[in-house]
Amino acid sequence: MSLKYGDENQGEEAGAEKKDAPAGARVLPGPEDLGFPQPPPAVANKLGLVKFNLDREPHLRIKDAEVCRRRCRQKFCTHSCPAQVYHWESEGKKISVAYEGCLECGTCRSGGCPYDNIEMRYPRGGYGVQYRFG
Amino acid sequence: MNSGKNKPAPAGAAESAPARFDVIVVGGGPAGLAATFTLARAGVSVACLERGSWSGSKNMMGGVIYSHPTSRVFPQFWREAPLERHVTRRDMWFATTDSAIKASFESADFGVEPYNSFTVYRARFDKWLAAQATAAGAWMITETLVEDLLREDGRVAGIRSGRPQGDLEADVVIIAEGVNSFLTERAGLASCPPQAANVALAVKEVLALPKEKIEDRFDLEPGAGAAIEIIGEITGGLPGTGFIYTNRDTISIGVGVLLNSLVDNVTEAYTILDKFKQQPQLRRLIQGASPREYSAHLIPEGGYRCMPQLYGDGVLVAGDAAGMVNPINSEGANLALLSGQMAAETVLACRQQGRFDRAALALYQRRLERSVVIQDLKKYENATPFLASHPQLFGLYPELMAALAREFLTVDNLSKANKEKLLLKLFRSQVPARRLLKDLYDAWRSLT
Repeated sequence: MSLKYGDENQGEEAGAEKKDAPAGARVLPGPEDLGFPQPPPAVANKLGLVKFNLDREPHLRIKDAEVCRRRCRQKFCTHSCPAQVYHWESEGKKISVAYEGCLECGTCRSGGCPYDNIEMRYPRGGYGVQYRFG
Repeated sequence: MNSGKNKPAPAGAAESAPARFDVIVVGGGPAGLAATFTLARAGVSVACLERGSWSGSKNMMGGVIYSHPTSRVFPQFWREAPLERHVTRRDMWFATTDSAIKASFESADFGVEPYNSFTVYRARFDKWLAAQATAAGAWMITETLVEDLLREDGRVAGIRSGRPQGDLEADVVIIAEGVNSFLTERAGLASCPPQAANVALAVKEVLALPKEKIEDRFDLEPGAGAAIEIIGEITGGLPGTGFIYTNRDTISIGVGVLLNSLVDNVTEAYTILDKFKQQPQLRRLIQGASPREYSAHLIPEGGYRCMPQLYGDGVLVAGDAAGMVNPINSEGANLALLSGQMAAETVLACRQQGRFDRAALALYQRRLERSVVIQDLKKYENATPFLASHPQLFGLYPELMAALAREFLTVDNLSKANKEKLLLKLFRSQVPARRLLKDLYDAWRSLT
């Protein structure tokens, strides 16, 4: 599914990644399923290899959408987050938050958003990312 | 010992667990589990709370643990722990986008007991540490997020977890929650707010490759491993390092870059990683390897100046939560293990007097100051600001070294005398003598 969103130069390898994804690895829904407009996450292939135990309760929240809209030109979080959880929706003029694929690193609360406009908690106990290697 | 290899600690433990312990440890990583294990073995009632489904399921590092500090807490762990390879070779590469100068150290010593270091996967290794703590009599309470500290007359008296009736009381709480130090901040112990100047973002991929291929490509004895650190243009010239570690039948490859430089340059860590993987000398090593996992984690690099208050009334802080990382030698897990052990020993000493107030627990700080933990952190207290303010170490200098090497090794019409002149000119044009002296002086002042 995420094949067509693969790295420009790694189309074939991306296919191999999927095949090699171990049983139990939950493949994240593609960008369309999450309601993203184009362009899709560049890390979709990487995230497809990671197992998540999905919490229905979001653990990430944009504090004030106005800050994203008016003050933050660069949309820093869309670059700093290593899981590309944050995506700027140019039509809706807001940051969408795909918390389901969050790797819980804490970048967004540690300066990854220079406006300190993201509230990060950990998912509830037992939920969220589940590394098999780590 | 109870290895519990594929069996996560029982999630139901909390239901039957008592509501009061002598000590509660928050976080089942190296710091928390060293503390838990040490306390349980001394017969203290101790519970370790871990938010993941098992200890290690949330944890990630590049991948080397050191034998000496680890065996101080878990003697002869290498006989049973799930380790990947013992590291016999340490390499340092200065790499540009198409060339590399490689410094390599290899020792036969590193290949025999007690070994020097091992590559590990934390999702497996930490699980084993937890099994040791359980076997020693500790309660491992997994799938439990600690949301707050309980206070009583101003002192920390326990924790509030996300479970129903999730309050647990204790004489002492040891906070070993990791780099995202929510509780340390809430307890008013943090000294630096979480900010991009004080953390590095590491991203890593696990790539599968048959073990014979790994041993061939990295020139290793069966079972032995290599750890390669790489600096240069491959981090986009940003302050950071790349790494590649060999595991049993996988390779760990990743980059760690100071977060403020990523943010200032509006650069993605995974973009740097993808470019890194395309570097020709590296690409050769990982060719045909298939991705198995992607992970990301922050590294606290604020160092000594950003360490929180390490003790308070009824509370101690250890490991990454206490900022115990040496960014120069890429050490963290060993400092975490040692600090966890010292936190536990402090609690054992304080139990004899029956006092867990600030003054009594200050013993922890004194112990740490006598140990390598604080001595190393103090030594490198200026390291991170130095590296951040000298990006030439990651861009210009490796680039220049490679250019000089290339010119020196290229045989053409130039006489050797003229070649020498050319090399000198090339060097001077890039680095005026005054600048070189200043950089050397800064390095000497900041790192010694």
